[in-house]
Amino acid sequence: MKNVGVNLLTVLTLMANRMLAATVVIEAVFAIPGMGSLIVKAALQRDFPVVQGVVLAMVVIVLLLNLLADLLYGVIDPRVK
Amino acid sequence: MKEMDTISRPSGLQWLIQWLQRDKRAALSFVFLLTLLFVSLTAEWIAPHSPTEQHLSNTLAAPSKLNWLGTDDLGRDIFSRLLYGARAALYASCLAVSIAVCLGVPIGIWAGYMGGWLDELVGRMIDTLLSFPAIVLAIAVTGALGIGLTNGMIAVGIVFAPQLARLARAKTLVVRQELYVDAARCFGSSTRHILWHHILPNALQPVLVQVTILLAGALLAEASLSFLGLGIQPPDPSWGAMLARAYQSMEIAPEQMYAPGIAILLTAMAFNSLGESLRKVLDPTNQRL
Repeated sequence: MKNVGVNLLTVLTLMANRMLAATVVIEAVFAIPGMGSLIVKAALQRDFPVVQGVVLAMVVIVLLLNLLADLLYGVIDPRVK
Repeated sequence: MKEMDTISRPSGLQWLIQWLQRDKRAALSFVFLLTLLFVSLTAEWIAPHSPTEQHLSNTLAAPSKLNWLGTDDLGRDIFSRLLYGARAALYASCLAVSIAVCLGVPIGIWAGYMGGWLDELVGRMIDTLLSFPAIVLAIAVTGALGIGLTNGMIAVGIVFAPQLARLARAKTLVVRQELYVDAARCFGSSTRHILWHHILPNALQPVLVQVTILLAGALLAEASLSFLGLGIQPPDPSWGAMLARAYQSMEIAPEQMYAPGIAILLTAMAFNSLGESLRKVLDPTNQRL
């Protein structure tokens, strides 16, 4: 597990990125109020500041997840420094 | 010298036929995509009905002789809409991927060849663009450019460009070390000439494979954007928009979702298996060719 963990973590963070994109469609389909449906509504009404805000928030989430993954590499596998 | 001529590379068409004969799955995908291209070009003559004509007395009809795949909630013939939707799908994926290639490949090989701070700068920009969730960035660009199929696909092209740029850059880093590039530089070739005649042809193979995979991605992106209402605008048909429409009456007539859904699935699968097979064939470590 410890040896595989690093690779798993890489894939997990990449998937988190894609899942964030998938929420946009899922929220629209199931009418869940959230960032995904917010950005779609804003784009349909050409409310650009809202679109910008949502994109910024999502990118910050992705960056934080990547940072977290980088930090966790060292925890899982002490050889990584 | 004479022998060199006789073992020259097979021409493009010969190579294509050889490849398709060897790989049946690729041949099947290729034929499917050619059929799709044919259908989308001749939709006006093949389609039994107009894709936008409404028959409000005959809505949500089951498949029959008159309407082969039934009608949607406005009484439009689903089969005809499916044929016209193929046009939107192919147009969309080709547009998005051409934009991605035209933006990504030159930037990638240029940055890879020049190296130094320029490479660093472009690399950082690629990383930035890749950290955006793809659909979200596409929605943002669509929001900026305005809603519509063409704008949506420009957005998807911009989203895909960094992937190709990174791929082209990685391959260029290898190719630029080759002796023939050094030789060309010593002969005083301009950077443009080296990039165009020496780097590009040799860095193109991984890009070609990625292009077929991206075509599937663009198709799915078009379907997603149209589903959300940010792609093609009613009443024009597209598979994603048809799914979105059928979704509204899913509980009354669930069979409406099958046709566009299966069309999207098959086309994406065809693009993907073609790409997979192309990757195998173009792989220099593969001994079979």
